[in-house]
Amino acid sequence: MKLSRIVDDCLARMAAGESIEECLARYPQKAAELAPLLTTAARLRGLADVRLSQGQRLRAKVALREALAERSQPATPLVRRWPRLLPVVSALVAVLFVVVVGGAITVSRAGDIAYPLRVTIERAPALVRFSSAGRAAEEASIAGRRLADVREYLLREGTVQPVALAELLARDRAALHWANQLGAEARLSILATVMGHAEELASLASVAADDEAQASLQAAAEQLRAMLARFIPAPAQESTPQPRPASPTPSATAAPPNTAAAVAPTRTPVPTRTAARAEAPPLPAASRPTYTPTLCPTLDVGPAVTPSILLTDTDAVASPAEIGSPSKPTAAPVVAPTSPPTNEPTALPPPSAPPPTPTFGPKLTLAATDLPPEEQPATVVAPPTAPRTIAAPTVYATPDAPATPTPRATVTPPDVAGVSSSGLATPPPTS
Amino acid sequence: MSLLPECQRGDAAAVEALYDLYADRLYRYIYARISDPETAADLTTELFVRMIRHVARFRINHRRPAASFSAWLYRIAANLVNDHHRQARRAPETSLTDELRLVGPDANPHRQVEQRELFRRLGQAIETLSEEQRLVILAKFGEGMSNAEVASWLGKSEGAIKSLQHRALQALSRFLRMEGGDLAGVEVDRGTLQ
Repeated sequence: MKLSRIVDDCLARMAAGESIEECLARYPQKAAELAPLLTTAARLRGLADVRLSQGQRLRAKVALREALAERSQPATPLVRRWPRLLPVVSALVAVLFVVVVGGAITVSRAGDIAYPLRVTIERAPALVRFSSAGRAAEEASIAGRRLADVREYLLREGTVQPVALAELLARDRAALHWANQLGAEARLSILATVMGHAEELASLASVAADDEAQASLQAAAEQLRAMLARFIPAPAQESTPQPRPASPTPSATAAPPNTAAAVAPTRTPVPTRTAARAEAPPLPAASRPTYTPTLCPTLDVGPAVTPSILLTDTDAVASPAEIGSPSKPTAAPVVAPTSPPTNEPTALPPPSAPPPTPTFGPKLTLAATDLPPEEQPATVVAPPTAPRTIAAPTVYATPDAPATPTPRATVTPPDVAGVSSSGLATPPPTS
Repeated sequence: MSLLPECQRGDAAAVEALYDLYADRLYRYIYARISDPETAADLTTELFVRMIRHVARFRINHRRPAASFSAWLYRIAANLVNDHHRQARRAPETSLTDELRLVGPDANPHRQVEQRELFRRLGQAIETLSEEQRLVILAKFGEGMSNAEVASWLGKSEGAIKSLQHRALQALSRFLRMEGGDLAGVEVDRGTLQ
């Protein structure tokens, strides 16, 4: 017989009134195993008398009635569940808000309400760039995006989006600021980017139908160019053996170096005329163009031309918009010094005539070799130099700059160059 | 189980009838597991309050309506006891009332302490059982149910109930022996259990 059955039989007998000893006597061969089990069972019998007292029952029933009354109270399920649902609902609302607002900001275009937020948020990556190179590159990249926004808005609406344009200028300014701490190569890259922005703004201005938009774009392009001009350092520190300009003042009066050859030529601007120049309408005599230096990052100057200074014949009183207008003369006479310039200027421009602000008007990277044979200078005495860099010599030429009486070794056909011997530009021929 | 639909509708009389039917056995179950009569009584009340709150969602097993309902109540009781044990582990405390209960103004305080010690150790032993073994022991020794009734309640055969009972008694016996206390001399005084 299985022990479990014996135990059950004994428990039944004990329940009927038998003692443990009587049960063990019935199964003497199992007594040793049965004894502890039956003893434990006897102790468990006491559980049958464990009951709630009458007072405990009454208290419990009062509590149950209260629970029933609470349950039967009419209450809308939402109101009853609201305290529990509140965190969940709040979290859902927050997530929904973030998704909707984030989406709206992400897809916002120039002119949208969320566009300023997008502009602000997109600046964030630049703030976490801790190297000057990274920061400059990021700022230039952001500026490129703003330029794309300006372009897109101009094509879409026909006007300029002021937020995008202002941000473009700000980011380019920041890019130049950070680029100032970089090496020459990295700096040139940033400069080229910003220059590209300026040129694209100018080209956008040319296609803008709206006058106001055209003016704004042109002014922005001029601002960028002005920033570039301020940013570009003096070229003397460049490693190229290019002759260093004597001073930022018009060098038409630069004295020849004493150590030069017997000819001792001065660095005389030799403006040339281009076809575009020839096609341009003549300027009135009262607004004779002055030459302002052109900083040209492009390096495609003819190999035969050595330190050539690109000058643009922008009108001194012309507005930036006019300067950038494609209808204006685009000639950029090339001033080719025929002898190494000196560092010491022999004459400065009159103090009453401040040097004109460097502008980046339509420039021509003409070189002597680009001219027709008949228009090329007869003799150009200039040492061969390395290709030009962006830090080209800066030369200011003003109408008031007197010509130096120094001998010249350069023979410049005045009628071709359109520039007088004093360095002043003359109106192009009307023919 | 005709009380159940009325209880689900919120009928107070049906709720009280169910309370009278199940309160003592659930109290025993809780008391066997926590060895504190006052706390066991409070938890029993809480158990029926939870029943009132959730009985409307209870879906009865029509093949074994009473068994399924009492099994549901025991599940609630087991959850309450587990919660109580968790809280006790977090903040173990012996209240002044516990001490007073142990040495209360009883005619025979020594005897009362012995009885409470017996049930405390039995409770500890019962806690070592599986839930099925625990229910069999409580049904057989607490409720006085027959093997057939327990088998019907738990949905098992009578042989399975006998086997569960045997294994439960062996486990309890081993636990009490391991505890070292020989309770053979302690007689269960039923009158001091309340």
